[in-house]
Amino acid sequence: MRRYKKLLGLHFIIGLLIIGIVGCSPSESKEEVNMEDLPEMGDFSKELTLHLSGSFTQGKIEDDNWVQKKLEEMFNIKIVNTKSNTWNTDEVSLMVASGDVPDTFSFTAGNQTSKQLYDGGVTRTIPREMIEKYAPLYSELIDENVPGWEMNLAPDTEDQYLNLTGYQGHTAGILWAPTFRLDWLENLGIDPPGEITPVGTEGGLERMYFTDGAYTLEEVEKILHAFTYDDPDGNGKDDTYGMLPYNNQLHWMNTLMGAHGVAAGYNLMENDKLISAEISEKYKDGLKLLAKWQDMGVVDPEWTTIDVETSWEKYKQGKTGYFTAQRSYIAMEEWTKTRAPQNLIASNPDAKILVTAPEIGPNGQQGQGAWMPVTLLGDAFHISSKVTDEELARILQVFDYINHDEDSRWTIYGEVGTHSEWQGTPEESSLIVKDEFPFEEGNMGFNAYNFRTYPGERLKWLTSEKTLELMDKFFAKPEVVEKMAIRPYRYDLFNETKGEELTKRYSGQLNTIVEEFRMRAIVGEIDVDKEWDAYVEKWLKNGGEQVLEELEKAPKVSDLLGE
Amino acid sequence: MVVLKDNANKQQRKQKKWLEIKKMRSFYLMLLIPMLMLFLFSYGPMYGILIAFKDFSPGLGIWQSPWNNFEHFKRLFDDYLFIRALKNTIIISLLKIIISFPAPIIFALLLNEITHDKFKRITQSISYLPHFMSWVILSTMIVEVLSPERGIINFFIGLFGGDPVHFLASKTAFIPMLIITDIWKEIGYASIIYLASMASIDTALYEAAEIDGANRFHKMIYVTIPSIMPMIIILFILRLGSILNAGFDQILNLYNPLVYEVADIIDTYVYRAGLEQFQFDYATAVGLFKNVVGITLILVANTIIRRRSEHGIW
Repeated sequence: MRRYKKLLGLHFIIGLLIIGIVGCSPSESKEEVNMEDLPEMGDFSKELTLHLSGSFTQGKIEDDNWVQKKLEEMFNIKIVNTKSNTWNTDEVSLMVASGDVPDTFSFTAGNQTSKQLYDGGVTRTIPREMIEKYAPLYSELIDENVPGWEMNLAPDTEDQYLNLTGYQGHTAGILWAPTFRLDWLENLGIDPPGEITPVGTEGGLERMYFTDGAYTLEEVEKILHAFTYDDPDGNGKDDTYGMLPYNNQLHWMNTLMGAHGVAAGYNLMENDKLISAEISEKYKDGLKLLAKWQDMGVVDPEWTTIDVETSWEKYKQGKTGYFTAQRSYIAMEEWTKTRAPQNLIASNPDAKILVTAPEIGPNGQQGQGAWMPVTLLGDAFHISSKVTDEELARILQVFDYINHDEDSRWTIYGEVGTHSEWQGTPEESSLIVKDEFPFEEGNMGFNAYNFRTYPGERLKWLTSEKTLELMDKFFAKPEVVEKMAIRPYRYDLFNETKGEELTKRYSGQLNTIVEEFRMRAIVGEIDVDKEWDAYVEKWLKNGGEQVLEELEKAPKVSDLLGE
Repeated sequence: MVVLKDNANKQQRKQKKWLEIKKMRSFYLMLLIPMLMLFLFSYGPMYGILIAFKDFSPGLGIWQSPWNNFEHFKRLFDDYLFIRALKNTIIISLLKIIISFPAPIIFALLLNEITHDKFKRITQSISYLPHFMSWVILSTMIVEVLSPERGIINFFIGLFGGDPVHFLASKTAFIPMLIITDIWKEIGYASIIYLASMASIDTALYEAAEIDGANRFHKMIYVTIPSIMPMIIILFILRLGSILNAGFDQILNLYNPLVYEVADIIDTYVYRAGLEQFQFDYATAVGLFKNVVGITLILVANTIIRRRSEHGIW
């Protein structure tokens, strides 16, 4: 009996291990593909079941939605919807850890790179031959945009790709600008820099003024002081502040750091040495200025405990006169209506906003970190390692259609006139989904399977006429971009270094060191000059040194841009 | 001859056992379901602990991922931020044990003394409410209440001529604030078990005490507290087991880099350095470390208490 028990126990353990091994085994490598075995382009005779997901999937999709049914019919596929929220780090972690990812995905949450996902066996490679055959519009896009096919190559291959990439047309140019309460400036008798013109003529845009002139940091300091202490709203109370940052993002300091010639998150050369922005002297100068402003009392002290959404709400109450905003907020695009400064314009008919070019720093520097470090090709659409070549052929055709064929506009906006309307001039302005339909997913399925890519006309559907005008006028003008977009000195565009692995390993430590120092420095808990060397040393000793060493192996951005 | 008799006895005992099992088969069947659940959801996943000792790759799976020579555990103790987080965890947890743990006991004792039924019920209901709200919601309320500009607390401080205190950004105020809000959230719900325990105390004990001249305070000290002591001890030992859980949800929703030095606990640090970076193996190693410390503390505390009294978990 005892022997039987032992045997039973042994079988049980072996069974468990087999379940574990089989359940978690990686799928076969997909690097070899026989094109002759695959159906021709447009041959949808065999029905396939595909588990689809896209950049916008947030688990709100309803089965048999309007887009799904049309796609199923067009491509003879049965779509299994992804009910998980790909914008939620915990859900994404769970999917990746279990290997249970949909056939196609582009996670918004989580920061695992394509190479990490591939090395982890979560994704498969995509052969160039298949891309060219089944996604001709995408191939054309890659042909036309530098560095095109050189990007996203799988390790040790010349024609296998880690992902499908997007064209981030919406990030072209510079994005951010400082904004000031113009009615307050007028009350205080402060002149705007340069010539100001209203962004539009109605809907609040007539109270939103833009100038390509800029204040210097000294002038901004004086304005913030006046906003705080000189009763700019004339209510007889000391209840206003110059500026209101927030603690969960760094956009509020983009242009202020830009005026010092540095962009957080990027690297630069200083004293002939490659360093990270966060340990540079320029960054230190930026911190010292912010600390000075905090000490002057012109920064709302609550900023350390509130996030960006709360700060928008506080801004709406009219207690702050300075806020950094994206060009689309200035153009009052529909999707930005809860954000500052548009929310104030909508709620206070007397409010007027002045938008200026980024502030000018002590050395005449002005600008901000470029959204994309080198190229406008970016973001990643992945294919699960479970996908067969036959399924991939069909996925590529669906992908090419919904993301690159202009006839597929209905997958995002439905039928224009029925489900959505042009915001302004037809075909020249952005498209707005009507209130009675869900903006994304739901029973209509808009954006449920699309990727974040905006080539050609797609940028217009997404971007209002006013934003496009602002881009033409200033934000995307080549000379402005050249002068004001701050790029990293080196960047591993082609995954040639082990930088990603090191970043993954050390970013928790390094981010903590940086965040803690930044906030303590600004609120005046520490003396920046006195603590600086110890902070840099701590950063270097806790993984920073290794990260920088590896970064030395990456190409220079100036060379990449030159090429 | 003896051997035959022994065999016959064994056979008889077996038959008797079998008959008993047969008679109770419906109960055994009922037991099967929780056993299966326990196996599937509690013991089955323990296989995943293996990744704490491996460089886990989801594609390779648990078994095929390479062993890494305890690298994650070495990393834990090489990382000064982890050591700081460990220290903070123990401090916060101990403070919660010392201050928060007795709070529901005292609250239950006081509630037990209230004779006005309606008032008692209303007090209980109000005290339960915060337990049913998540820290995400509560933290928004706390941020508002403690706001240096709009918060009611600072309003009263201002009335008495004081300067506003930024509680959530102050290293000295943050930990007391954590303890107070933790008590506020859990005091009502945690007191239920003690109230239930008090309800089962034999009323004859109180009558006897009364005859001996005990007043209400004496009865509380000499009857109620000793009667609920086994329950207090069991809950205390279990609380010790989770000493390395200092309140992830609460801290994550309330802290900021200004208070990392005192408030960054193991769970929040690992969330930032491990899970957000998809380092499941590292996060598992930390989880395992926490569990080993927890079970050790439970064993030690239980042994000490068993030796010194008749109470304990087992």
